[in-house]
Amino acid sequence: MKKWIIALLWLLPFLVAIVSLGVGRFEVGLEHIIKILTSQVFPIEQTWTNMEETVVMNVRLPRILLALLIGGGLAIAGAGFQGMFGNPLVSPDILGVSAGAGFGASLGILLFGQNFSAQIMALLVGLSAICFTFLVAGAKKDAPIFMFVLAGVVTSALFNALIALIKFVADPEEKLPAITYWLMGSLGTATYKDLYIGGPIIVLGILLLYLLRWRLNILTLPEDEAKSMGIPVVRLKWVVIFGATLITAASVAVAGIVGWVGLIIPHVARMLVGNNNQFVLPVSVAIGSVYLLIIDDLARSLTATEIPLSILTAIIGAPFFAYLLRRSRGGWG
Amino acid sequence: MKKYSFLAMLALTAMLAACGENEGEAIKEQSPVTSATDVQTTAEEKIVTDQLGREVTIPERIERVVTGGILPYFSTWYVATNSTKEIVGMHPNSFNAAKNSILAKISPDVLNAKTSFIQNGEVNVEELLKVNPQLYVENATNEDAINKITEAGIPVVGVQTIDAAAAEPLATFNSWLTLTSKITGTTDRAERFLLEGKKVQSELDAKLKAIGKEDKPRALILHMHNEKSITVGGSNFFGNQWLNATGAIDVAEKDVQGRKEVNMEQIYAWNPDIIYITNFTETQPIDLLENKINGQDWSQVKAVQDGKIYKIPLGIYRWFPPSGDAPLMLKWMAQKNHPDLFTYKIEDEIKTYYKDFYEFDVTDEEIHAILNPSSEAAKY
Repeated sequence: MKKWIIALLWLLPFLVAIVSLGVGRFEVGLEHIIKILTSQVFPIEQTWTNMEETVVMNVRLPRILLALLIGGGLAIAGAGFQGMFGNPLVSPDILGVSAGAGFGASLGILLFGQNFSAQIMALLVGLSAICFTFLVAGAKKDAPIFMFVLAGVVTSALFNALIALIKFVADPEEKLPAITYWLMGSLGTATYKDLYIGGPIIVLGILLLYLLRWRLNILTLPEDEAKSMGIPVVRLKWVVIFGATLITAASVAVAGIVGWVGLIIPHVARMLVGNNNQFVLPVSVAIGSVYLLIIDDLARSLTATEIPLSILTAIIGAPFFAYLLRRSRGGWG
Repeated sequence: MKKYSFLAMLALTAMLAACGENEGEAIKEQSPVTSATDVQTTAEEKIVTDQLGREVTIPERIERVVTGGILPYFSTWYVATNSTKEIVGMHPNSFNAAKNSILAKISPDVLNAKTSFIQNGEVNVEELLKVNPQLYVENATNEDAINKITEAGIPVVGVQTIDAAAAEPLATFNSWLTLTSKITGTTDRAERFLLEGKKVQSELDAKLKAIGKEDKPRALILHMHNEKSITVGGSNFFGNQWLNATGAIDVAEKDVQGRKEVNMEQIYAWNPDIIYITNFTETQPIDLLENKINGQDWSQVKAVQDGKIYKIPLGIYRWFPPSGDAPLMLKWMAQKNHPDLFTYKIEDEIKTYYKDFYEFDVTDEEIHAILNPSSEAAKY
């Protein structure tokens, strides 16, 4: 891959982030945005209003950072899973983490209302969902990969049923809309606190997967062959699953369930750079973060009301993906 | 646009046709009833037309009524009849509002109502039959419940909320009152309320006429609110009409239909002069004034800087939806919008109104509770 393309891919998230600071219902001029950003480091004369500064620094910046992190995280988690399972239909929620975290959050909202406790519950139940998947798969050392997928389907089904149960019990005036809205994903009330809760976990997951990127290629080989090369296949799989789970559970905890990113972005990355996971993973992070950031810009600026993220990721993502599929005729790699 | 109006025409024609059919049926239905009364004069029944246009045959004297998903309705019954002992069952959410309202003191019978026939918002017909109502009052939008209960042999009257009078709360309440007085035959009381509402509105209109658009405060209805979500009311909802009727401009009118979730940035973009907080959220004015909400900086908003954050009161029912206190709500909000124009003491107004219409001497403490409703009352 050419050097300048790589440079552009890494520059893109930052460029889009700067532009995004100027996007929203409340108008702030570009000049003021740059001045506000500069004033955080250098003392310069204030020519902007306090409200403009609040909008840029406290409303937009945290959600832009979160959109970048979650988009990039979900994309690399999807790429990691697709590489590991050797299956292009796999997305990060295949092992039941999203459904589990979604149940945790719904239960949290039902019991404590929409607050910090609900987020912690999302994280914890999401992580325990993956343990449940392992139990179902029979956490033997060499459980075949399709057992994991099947167990994930079972776990998802179970937790989705539990979410439905919570919705059934929830008070239709207040709690039910909150739960439904939340399950569709939104960064509408993202704060620095969300960034501090979710950020480190997502970064840790991304780092884990990034460090393993070239080993993932070996995982696509038949297992015996991989073992013969001295790769601890089972342990490697566990680390990939662990990393992807951290990312998925943490993003559900701070932004609700954001669909589609983890499924399509790795495909887009493969169309650009081919099947080598060493490139697919980092490129997925770059594209995924930009994609979710643009989606979130639309979500907060199209109408006065926040549009849930999953609606936009699918409505905009599906036709785009269909177009790419036709152009590449399904052949990549 | 053309396509749209064509569709509207089509819908209208269909509706008219449907109405025509209904009338035909009604006449057919009516005749056996009349002939029955002819034969047996003791069968005391009458027919009322509910807000769905359905003709419902109900007993002449109703001693056992149950109110379902139309939450504020029980207070209308009280206003129309000066009694709550007929209300033998009500929606659990209504019950919670009643328990926390002054109606529990004015007419303690209301606390005898059963609630167990509704679980998770669904009516259990067998439990309902145990309560043995002669009449069931339900939200007109809940067709399932209306059909189910009608089939169980209980007459159901459908009552509309925002569709009854284009989300105009006083007119909506008046329409409920008129319907109720037809059901109960207590027209005198209803008449007095209707007159009072009209009187207050025309008083307001007379004073507000001189106010130009630029002198009206720009206000926002904060409908539900917590750390993770901000829901505001807009057009086609009661808040919008209250604001219009009391000389304010609804900042969310153009952007929000009904109630919708928005973000903090949108609040800054509106930057309202006044914020009214409903009783559907636990948030209190102090939470915004002291900027206590984690992750939301309200201190930038003009209403907060000017200290103009008000919690909507809770009298015999929440004042935000239509209720028997509607004339008081008009006076209260008009004064908050234009304190120089409306100089009455709202405490005295409440005292007089409660004495006149509910025959109840409300104490200063109780008035304080009405004007400063606790967060508890927001919980369903």
